[in-house]
Amino acid sequence: MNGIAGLGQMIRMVLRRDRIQLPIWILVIGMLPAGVASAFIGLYPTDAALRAAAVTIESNSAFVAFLGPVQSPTLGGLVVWRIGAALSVLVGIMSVLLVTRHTRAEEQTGRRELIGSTAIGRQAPLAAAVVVGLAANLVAGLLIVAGLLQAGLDVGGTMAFALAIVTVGWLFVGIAAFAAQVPDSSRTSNAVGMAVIGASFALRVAGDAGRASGAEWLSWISPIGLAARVGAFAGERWWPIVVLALLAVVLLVVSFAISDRRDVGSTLVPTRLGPAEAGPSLRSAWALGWRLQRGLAVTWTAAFLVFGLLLGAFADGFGALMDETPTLSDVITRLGGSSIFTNAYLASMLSVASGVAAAHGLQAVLRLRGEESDGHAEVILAGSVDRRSWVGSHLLFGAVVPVIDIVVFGAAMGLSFGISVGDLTQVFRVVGSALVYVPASWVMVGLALLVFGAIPRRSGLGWAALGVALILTLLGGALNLDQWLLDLSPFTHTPSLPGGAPGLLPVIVLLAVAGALAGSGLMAFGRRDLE
Amino acid sequence: MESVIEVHGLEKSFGSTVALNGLDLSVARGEVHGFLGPNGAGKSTTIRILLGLIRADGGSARVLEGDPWRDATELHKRLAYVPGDVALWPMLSGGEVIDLLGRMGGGIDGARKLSLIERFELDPTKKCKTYSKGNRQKVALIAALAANAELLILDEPTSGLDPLMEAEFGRVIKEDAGNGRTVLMASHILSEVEALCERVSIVRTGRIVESGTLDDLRHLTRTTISARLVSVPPDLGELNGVHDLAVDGTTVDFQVDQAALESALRAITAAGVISLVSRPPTLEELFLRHYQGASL
Repeated sequence: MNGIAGLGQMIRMVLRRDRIQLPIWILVIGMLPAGVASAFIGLYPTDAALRAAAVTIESNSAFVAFLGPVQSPTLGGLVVWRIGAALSVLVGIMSVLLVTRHTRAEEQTGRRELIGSTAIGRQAPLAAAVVVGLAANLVAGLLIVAGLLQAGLDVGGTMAFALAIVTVGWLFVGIAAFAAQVPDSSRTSNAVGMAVIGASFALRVAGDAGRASGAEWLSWISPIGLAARVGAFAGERWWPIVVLALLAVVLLVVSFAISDRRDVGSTLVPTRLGPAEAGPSLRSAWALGWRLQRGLAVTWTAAFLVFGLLLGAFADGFGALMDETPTLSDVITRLGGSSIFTNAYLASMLSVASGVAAAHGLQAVLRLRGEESDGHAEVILAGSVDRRSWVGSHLLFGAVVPVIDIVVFGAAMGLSFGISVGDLTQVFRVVGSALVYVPASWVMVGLALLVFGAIPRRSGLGWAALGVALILTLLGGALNLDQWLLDLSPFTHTPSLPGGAPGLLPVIVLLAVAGALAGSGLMAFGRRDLE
Repeated sequence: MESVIEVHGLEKSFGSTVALNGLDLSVARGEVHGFLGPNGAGKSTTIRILLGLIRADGGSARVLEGDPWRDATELHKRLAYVPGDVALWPMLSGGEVIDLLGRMGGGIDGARKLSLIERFELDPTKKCKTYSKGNRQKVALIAALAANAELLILDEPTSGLDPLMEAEFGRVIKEDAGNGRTVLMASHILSEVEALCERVSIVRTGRIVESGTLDDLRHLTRTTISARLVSVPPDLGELNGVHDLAVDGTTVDFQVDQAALESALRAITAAGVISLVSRPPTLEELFLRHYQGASL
């Protein structure tokens, strides 16, 4: 098949272009399990301590919903429980970004056309992205195996866990390869991939949260949930791994079949004609900002609405689940009834939602950099548009969309929870709590604006900062990191509402930091050359 | 004569690369000014400073009697710009982009827009991502040419246009000049500049090396002479100011400096002239003279 002529060269090109970011991804993913294992060895040195830890975890609804149940009260079981879902999400994001970057993005910029004019085969660019994607997951898996064996865990469980993570990654390589065939912009391809990751995670959470009400099947239809069902270190089941790998193969075969038939640069969705004249409202940088951002904003909001409704519906199921466990009900009563579990559950869902909302805010504000490097900013600023208005036209979205996302999510969660317990005032309680989660995402948006204003070519640092902040907040505890490190993440400082102590000071400080960052970003951009 | 663009000693570096090194430029109201130079000479950098998109490191620049950096938004209501590399929003239609650019500037003349769309044969309902390079160029050109602007700044305006559209563009610019619009046109297409511009400035490695009307510039350089003579004067090649002499039987071809023109003509008339063609230097020759042997 000469469709893949020049595959070796294409693979070398992909590796060369990703020589910095890919190793970072692989190292982070590969080292995390060993890091968690060594932290847990320190925290729970004996079997008894491990069993006690597992019981404590099982009694915390937020933990179970967010990370799934502990399947075995051993070191391996706890490591898998703590890091499995996070690793699945990480390999998913790595795979989607990698494949899109080397397929649809290349077509969109026209570089694919240049490649197509050389002696490189029609399928070689896609094949190269897929091969590197599969290999990256495999290498990360090998690192996981090495790290966990080093920590003294048994071979069977280690292999099962690593294979589960690798095959989830492979499945997302397949999903991204498919998503690269359908729409005509890399932004949309990435969005499709990210949406599948988000949906997989949310379905898994809903499935685990709704176990008591028979909703566990939701977990089974999620790749991330399926990977968790491998049950590493808890009497391994191997068939979910086979299912994940088969799904990946099917998606890849379909993608290659489409790619073989379609024209370079074309899409399965035909492009419609537009109006010959601009509507009366399209008359300023602000209107253009709305036009460029609205599709994304509506999609995200809809996703937050759906997941909010889904996740809220099971908030009460948790209390029920807890009450059925006799050893736990004592503890629960002592701690103040099952409502504290419901609250902790709602709070942890809001916390995760605020991280995702920050990603949307970042995407909105970094549109500035996209517009600049695409050459659109030059055209706008050559018009009678001052720099602050132009930055404002996207910063507005960076600031507003996290609020809308979090409020919609909170309201939806409050509504479905309220309906399930017959108390609709829950909507106001949850929305009120949701608002305190906004400032932390604003800090990330402000930081991204500062990077854009001061060192535009390094705008990707905004994403790196969000990644680090989320890893610190979500995994910092498990890695037994020092408090000062955890404090670097703005999400660490958000009061844990509902249920926790409503501290006003951290919220004010976060707001001030966000304002200062955004202000400096705006000032820095006002002084610098457009690129 | 009122100056629309006045630039003195402009300097700009990007890291260790010096883009502008004391550039001077003066564009008078109502003229079509050619801004000539090879790739990387500093044309686009100058234009981006004039638009306040980047800031000069040194020197002064005035556009429409304002400061291009500080007064950018006010000035941009009075000028229109076509970038060298036209990038448009993929999901907007060409018609939408034309209107949007006009509205973000100083307004657009609707009737003129429609007539330009017709003259340039653009389909304004297509999404920008489906346009070819030439069609994207047309969108930017129509937006600029239909704008209510007193100054047009055009960076390589005809790149990607077919010859028919290039000619149409030339006609529109000539009409504009007749209507008193000032045009600064950066280009390296010499025939186009020669046909449209009254004055040119030639830039090389960040400095203006020549500036003036085409006639002025021609006086500074050599005239090409081809003649059939009765006999070839033996000392013609030795005359001061005669260059590139080629003798083929009794036919001679040579170039002569303006100052030596008279003595050269004397020499050949003394030898007896059967026929004579003299040609002023083309802009291309002018241009090449400045760049020949120069390390670009």
